[in-house]
Amino acid sequence: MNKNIKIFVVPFVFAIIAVLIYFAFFFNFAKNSIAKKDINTITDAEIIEVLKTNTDVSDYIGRNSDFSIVNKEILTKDNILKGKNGKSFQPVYEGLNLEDNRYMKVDLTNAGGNEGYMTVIDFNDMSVQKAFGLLLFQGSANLNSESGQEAIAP
Amino acid sequence: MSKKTLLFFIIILIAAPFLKADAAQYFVGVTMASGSAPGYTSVSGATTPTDNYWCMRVGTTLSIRNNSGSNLPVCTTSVTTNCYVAPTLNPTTFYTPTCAGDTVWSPLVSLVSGTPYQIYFDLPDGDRNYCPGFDYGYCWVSWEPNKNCCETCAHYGMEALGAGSGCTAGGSNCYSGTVYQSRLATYPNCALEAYLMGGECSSCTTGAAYSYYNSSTYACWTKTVLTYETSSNYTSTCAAAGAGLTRVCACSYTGSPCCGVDYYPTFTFTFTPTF
Repeated sequence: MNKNIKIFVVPFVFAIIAVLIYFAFFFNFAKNSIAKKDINTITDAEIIEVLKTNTDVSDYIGRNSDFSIVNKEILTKDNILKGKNGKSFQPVYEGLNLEDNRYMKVDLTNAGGNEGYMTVIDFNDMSVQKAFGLLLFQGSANLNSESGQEAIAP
Repeated sequence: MSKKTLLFFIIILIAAPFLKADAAQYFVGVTMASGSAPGYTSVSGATTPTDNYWCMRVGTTLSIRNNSGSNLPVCTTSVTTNCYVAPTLNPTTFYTPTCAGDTVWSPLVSLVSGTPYQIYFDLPDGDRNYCPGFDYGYCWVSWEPNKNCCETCAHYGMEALGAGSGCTAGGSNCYSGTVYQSRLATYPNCALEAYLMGGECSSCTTGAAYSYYNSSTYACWTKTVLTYETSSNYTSTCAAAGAGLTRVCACSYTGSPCCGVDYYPTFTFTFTPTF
């Protein structure tokens, strides 16, 4: 009986430990530690601190140490509505509440200009609401059509 | 517990954090380069290597595909906490002409690092695709400031509307004011130019009626600015437009290799993201 219990309990304990360690890697404990900032006076360094609480953006920053903030925009109701009805990037605006001065859209790009991130910070709780990658390629002029394909490096 | 079992759990513990699929939500953008249009062979006698105003017309679609050629689904599931339902479609359709130098963006798609993908363009009908605008059966283009329509159309391997044998310097037919005026009836001046060139009509008044525009502002110019036109009753139209003015010309495809039906209706880029 004791042996049978041991067969089940030991793997179960290990599984619990594995799950805890897994979440320890991916749960962002720092997320809630960002103090609330004024959307009008927040600095670039503080914005980056907030953005780093998102694992995707943090990963991007880690891979692109030459990144920079290329655009900051405090969203208004009109901005959000326009974005939702725009031809591109609608997902950036989907799900945002129609409020003035609550969200800031921040765009990052690397020095090569071929990879960036489009993010939205919610200043209610200093969380990163949206973080979508941008991959930009230069379409080469001398492509073959149909069967022809040309690799373009990011 | 055996040593093997213990080793197994240790391996799982170490490997678990790295088992996450390296996928992320991306918009993929392509900046169309200047130069010959993709799939567009050089037109004999035309200066296509320096073309910087070829376009993909309204209705062109862009899709992100896997390496097997199937369209990726748009981001509709919560792959990451930041992924919301995207109201876009894959493929996505161009609503304005997309010209060399412009950047077009894909819908939001989920990409896996190290996996090859395709950026696939499908041009409508494969016919006359490299024109910024079509109306009345003509391709309407512009080129550089201070070029007349003979020069402008020839630059794209086409022939100016009503050119005939008069398409020489000083010729009277290379740009037919009378015919052109009738083309303007539906889309007066700046509105026409905005429609054709994908810009916004910025400062035209209803009184303006002539086919010149400022390529930066899309503002219109009236005939009073171009006195030589009024004095020549629109016939001395092979004349240059004047510095800073760009003509919007109606051109026809006569013997051009560029725009036959099904001529290169699609082209593809491939890329392998690493992130």
